[in-house]
Amino acid sequence: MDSQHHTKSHSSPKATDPIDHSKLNAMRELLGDDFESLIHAFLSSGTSIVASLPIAIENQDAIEVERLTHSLKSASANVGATALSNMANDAENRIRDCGLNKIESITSCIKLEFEQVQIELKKQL
Amino acid sequence: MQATQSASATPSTDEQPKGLALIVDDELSNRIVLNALLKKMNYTIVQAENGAQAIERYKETQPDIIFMDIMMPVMDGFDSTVQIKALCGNTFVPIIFLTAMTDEKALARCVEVGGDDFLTKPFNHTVLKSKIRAMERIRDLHREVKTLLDQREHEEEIAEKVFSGAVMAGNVMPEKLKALMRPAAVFSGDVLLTAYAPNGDLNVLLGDFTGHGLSAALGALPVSETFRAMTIKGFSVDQILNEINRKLHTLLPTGMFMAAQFVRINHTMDSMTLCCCGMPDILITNITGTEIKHRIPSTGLPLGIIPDADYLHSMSSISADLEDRALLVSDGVTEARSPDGEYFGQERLENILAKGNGKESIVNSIANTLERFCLDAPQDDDISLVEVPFLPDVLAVFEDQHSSGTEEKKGAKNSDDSQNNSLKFVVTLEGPRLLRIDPVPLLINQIQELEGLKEQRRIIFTILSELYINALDHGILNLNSTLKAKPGGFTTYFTEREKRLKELSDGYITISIYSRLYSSSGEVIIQVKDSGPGFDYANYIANIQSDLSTPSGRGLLLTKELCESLTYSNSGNQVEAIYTWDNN
Repeated sequence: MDSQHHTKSHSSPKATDPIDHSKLNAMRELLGDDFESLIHAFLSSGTSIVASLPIAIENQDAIEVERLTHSLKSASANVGATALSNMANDAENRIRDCGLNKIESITSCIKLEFEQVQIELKKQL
Repeated sequence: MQATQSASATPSTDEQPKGLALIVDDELSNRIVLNALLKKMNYTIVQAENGAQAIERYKETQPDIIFMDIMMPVMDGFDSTVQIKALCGNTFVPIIFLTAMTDEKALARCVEVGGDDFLTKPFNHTVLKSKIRAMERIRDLHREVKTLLDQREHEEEIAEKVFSGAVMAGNVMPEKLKALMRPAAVFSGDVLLTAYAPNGDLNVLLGDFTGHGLSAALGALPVSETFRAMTIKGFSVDQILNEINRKLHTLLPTGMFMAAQFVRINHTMDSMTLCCCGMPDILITNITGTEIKHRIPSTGLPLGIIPDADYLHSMSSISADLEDRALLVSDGVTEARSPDGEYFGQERLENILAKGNGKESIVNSIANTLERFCLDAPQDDDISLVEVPFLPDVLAVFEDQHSSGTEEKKGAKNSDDSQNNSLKFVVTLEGPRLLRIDPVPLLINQIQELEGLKEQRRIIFTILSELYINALDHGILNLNSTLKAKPGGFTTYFTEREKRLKELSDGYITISIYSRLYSSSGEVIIQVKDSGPGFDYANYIANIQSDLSTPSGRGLLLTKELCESLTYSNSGNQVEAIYTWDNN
């Protein structure tokens, strides 16, 4: 419902909570005992994606960068990390439109945002 | 059986086990969320991390529904879907693409590769539930249709067996008559019927009903019954066609009818009688097919269109040489198509005939060329090919039951026979009635009804037909049989005969039949008298005995051999045949 707003505000993420708690709580309700494994799964794949992104950019592997941001987009949406998901979406669209040109400006924001999300999610365990 | 089907009609609740779902996604958190949602809906779940693994899981577990991510390492969702759908065959396994993509081309591709729906990420419980419900509905419908189709196919096969048993099993199939029937569906709308007349004539009818499949095949049953009953009773070709037409007109709905080709090989081996009603030309060729001697075009309406069609004037009689062939071909042959959509056509058909070398039957060489032409193109219409050879071999072989020898006649054979009885009846046909009525089958059936003749019926039929035809053709119509001997003579003869019959205003033929039956022997006296001037019978009989090569008179001589005596009297316009038999 507020995705439009977040899409435009990715350049100033600190202004908002990295986690949409209503979404996260809905997920906790749905998953029950599996909620923790979701958080673990997200933290593990998120960490791996954030670490892989600079390498793929270094290798000029646009396909891999696109795949990584695409994965991050849906994974972060699952845990209510809406701002992160929107950033990943922006990155994915940008690669599709103009390749890896100046992609680092977005991926460095992604890295910072992921760290915020990580801190917030660990509190939930 | 019905109960399991109707389960789909009651709304499915989340409490019922739903079956097995396969989740294919490389992102673990996605699988966890979808897994939880599906578990809530009572699905059992298997998972795969990429397209290749999905194929393996599909083979191992045969899931009921598949959720497929698009972008995955090793193998993407598109390729995986193509392969899984191929493995599914006739079974409907819904594949729902999981997509975060907004790219329209990618969405279109999901459907192209065989996907059944999309689900956008992040997953929403309500949307997922509705989509699954819709898919289940389609899947159940699919299963129901498949069950019905299987059932129908099974029933059709049984029905076809019963049906062809009833229609085709009654056929006589002389070895030299070649036929190829290749239906487009389980049921054929083409029907081939063959039967012997009491005098040994072979009747062959190839019918082609409008359409094909079951509805087209249904009409074959009454047609076969009428064809067989009337042939066996000795009715003429036009009478048989008239009756079939009447019956089909009553039975078939408007717009349905039967085109037909009819050939009668006359037992006298001097001619064939043909009729084509709305079918391709009947071709009369030499033995190899290289020479087309006659084309018999369609002159009659297809059967069943109008209530009172009269096929008398649509008949053709042609003289034929031994080993000539009458070719009956349904339009399924000329209209058969190659994989490129090209028609087989009449020209191609006749080219095969022209190249005939006699090494294989005409039917076989056409069938072989046709097969090479059509390859695996779908067959649109029933294909039928029949080759009727003009040979005594195809005629009925009846055991010679008449006791030609009189030496064994027992002196006082019947004096003490308690079943001694006799019967006499006389029929006189006058003027124009002679055109409309063929009294021979009627009389024979009358005698049979009254006297219960069995084996003798054929012979009495032959004698009576011959005498009646002679009285009509020569006595009343004053036709000369020597006409037949000239080239094209048969056609001239029959055209002239028809013309004179139509103009006939007076004259009469009287037939008297007097029969005496004992327990195992009997005697039938047939007298035929006409109003004509008669002929010099003494001289005539002497002549035909010395020259058997002329077709004229041959029939009379045959009759004379069948009878104990054959006597002309008056001016030659009255004849009496005595036929006796003794089964002891």
